[in-house]
Amino acid sequence: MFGLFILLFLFGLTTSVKAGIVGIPCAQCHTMHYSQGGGILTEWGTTGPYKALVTKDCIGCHTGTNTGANKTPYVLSVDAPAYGETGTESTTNTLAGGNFYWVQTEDSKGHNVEGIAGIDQTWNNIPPGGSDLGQQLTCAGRYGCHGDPNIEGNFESLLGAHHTKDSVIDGSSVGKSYRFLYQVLGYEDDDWEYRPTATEHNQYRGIDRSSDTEKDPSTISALCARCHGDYHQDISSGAWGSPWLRHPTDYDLGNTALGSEYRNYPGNYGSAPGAYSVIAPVASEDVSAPKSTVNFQNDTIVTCISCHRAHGTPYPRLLRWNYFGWPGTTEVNGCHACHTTKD
Amino acid sequence: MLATLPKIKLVFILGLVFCLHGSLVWGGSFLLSAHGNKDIGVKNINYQAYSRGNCAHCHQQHSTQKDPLVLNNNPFALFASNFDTSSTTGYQQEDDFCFYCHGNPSVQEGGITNYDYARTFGGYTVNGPTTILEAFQQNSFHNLYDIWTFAKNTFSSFFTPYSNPCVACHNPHLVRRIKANVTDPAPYTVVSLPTDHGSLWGDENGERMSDFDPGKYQAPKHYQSGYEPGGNAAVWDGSNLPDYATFCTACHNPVNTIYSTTLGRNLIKIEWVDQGGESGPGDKHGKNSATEDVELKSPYADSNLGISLGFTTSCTDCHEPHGSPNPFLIRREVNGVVVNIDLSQKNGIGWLCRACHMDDHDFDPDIPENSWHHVHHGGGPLIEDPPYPSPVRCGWCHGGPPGANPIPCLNCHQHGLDDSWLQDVYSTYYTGRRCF
Repeated sequence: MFGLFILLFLFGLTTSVKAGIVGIPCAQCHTMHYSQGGGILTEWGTTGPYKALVTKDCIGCHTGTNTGANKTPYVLSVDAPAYGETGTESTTNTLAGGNFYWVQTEDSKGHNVEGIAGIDQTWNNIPPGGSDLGQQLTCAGRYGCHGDPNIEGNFESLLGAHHTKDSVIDGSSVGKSYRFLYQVLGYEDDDWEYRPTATEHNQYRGIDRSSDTEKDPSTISALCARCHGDYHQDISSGAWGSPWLRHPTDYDLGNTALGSEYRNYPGNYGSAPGAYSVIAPVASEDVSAPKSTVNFQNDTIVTCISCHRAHGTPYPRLLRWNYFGWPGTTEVNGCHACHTTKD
Repeated sequence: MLATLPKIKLVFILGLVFCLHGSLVWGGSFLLSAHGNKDIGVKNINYQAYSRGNCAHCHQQHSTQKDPLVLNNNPFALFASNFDTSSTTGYQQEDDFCFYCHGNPSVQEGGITNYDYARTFGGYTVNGPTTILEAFQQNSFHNLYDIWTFAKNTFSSFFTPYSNPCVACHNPHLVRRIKANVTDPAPYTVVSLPTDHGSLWGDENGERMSDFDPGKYQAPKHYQSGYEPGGNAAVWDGSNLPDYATFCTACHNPVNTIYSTTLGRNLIKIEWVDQGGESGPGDKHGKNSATEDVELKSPYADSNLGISLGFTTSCTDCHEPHGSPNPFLIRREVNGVVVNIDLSQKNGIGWLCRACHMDDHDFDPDIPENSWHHVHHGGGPLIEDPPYPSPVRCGWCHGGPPGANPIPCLNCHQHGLDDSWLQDVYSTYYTGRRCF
């Protein structure tokens, strides 16, 4: 009975925390000598020893199949993940960022992260809308998305983050940043949006900008702009606003006219008018809790990940839905969550 | 268990809602449009990876589609410049975004053939333009720069300085495939009123030519058989035709001043709705129709409407929307008659008039075509109210023998004109009667 109590206690702990690791034995992740019984354990990575005395690298730990109960978010699957049409259906097993599975065979279906996929054959190491990285994209650090971009190296840039108590996400450190994306804010869904619903999902941080050049590092779109800058900072044709040169980000739909099609968000892609859509999510300035409804008051902010999933999807350009196939082969096009008259 | 029930219920309910929504996803206005149709819609040869009808054939969300490392900077994220505002005549493909598909060559897979109104709806299949761009490259054309200037100053609710002039008349996300429905084009209309850009015009009851002036619209003859549009033998009352009178007068009305770069002057203001009677205001080809007598040809002379006087016409009965080899965008064929207008001839415009109106030749085949003594001076068997009966001296107005010196038709027969021209020539004969 006591053991059950402990297990329940631990379970309670692990389901209430966000990214910080609590309640897992050290040996599950670390090894002092990268050696056990004169060799390495089968569950360890084979290319060690690894920095921070861990048993695997980023990819090693985060490869697996999500079940909704796993304590590590799996972003790469060995077998084809169940994605459905939008990655949000009740049969899916991918997470908010999607999955790197598909980019292994098709460049345009994910970020070509070193160790997972080869260098993009079309763009090499030049992120569209940005400058040459000089080397292939990594998970974290100077050439990656997670961790401190001022520090080179997956491990170095993330040091300590996994052990940070992050009940408060304030961006003050990597560990206290949304999903270890340094300085980014947001509400972290407990299961990383495993089969998300309108009430259980990440709440992404955005701002309602007033100029091209305004860039708040706390927004999820500003993070993308670190590499894809032109898509964020060079998008309006004159004064801020429509007509856009490129699709706007960090722009609130509340700026549109009351009778415009955008005020019908989420169109067919939510449970009701004014509902939050997990298919085409919008960000908000307030990220203290997930929003199930929107009011077009700095809570309907367009972001990069309103359309894309950062890790990958089965669809070209990392899109959340089969945009390329619409309308010929699918009726699902999340663009219509905002562009509600274009269906 | 109890704690998990609400979540299970919620998931079930949301799942049910999603499934329902999935089944409720209906084909919307864009999918019904000529551009968004999945079978015949846009398919840019440069962006083959996208499904036909996809937004990406025109819009690049990041303006980097064709060459990922080259940024285009076109408003509305179009793959090319929307409109070259320095272009006022002699249009080329790069002057207007729409011409990239609606021109030759075309980036639309297989190209697009768009004949003019005279061919598409009038049935005159000889020659004529085959693309919209070609239509705009003819002798007379809707000046796109002037449209752009007027629209941005007049319809700023939807038309911006970055907008394409075609958008003043067409909503590219709504336009339907009218050319494939020539005998019943109204439900497949391509125009939107600039005062209601978010809706099509002509597709609903109350938006047809039969509604503009009920019981007064007689469709002209089709070049081959039946009536316009498309040679429909069973419909002649305009109930199958968008109300182009209302549509065109949204701009070309008595209020708006529209400058023509082509003509170097303001356009004549058109009074198509006013019913001021014999002296106006109001064009007689509009609602202010002939009040005394008119000698018309079929199908007006034997109209199924049961009237012989008081007809209202549609702008498209005489004019092309985009361009024409004739001046003033006058169609190559009107009421089943081929019309070639040479304005160097004083009575050049008469070739248009005689498509519907009886000239002397129609009264007496021995008299050359495009002679108009009877209708002006009487003497024929049918004329009841000639405006200038029994003139004393022909030369006072004609400046010589009338046969060799016809008075230029356009002195009096233009939109909004009466015979004021006579006041400076021989004012005794001035009648003040509307002459158009």
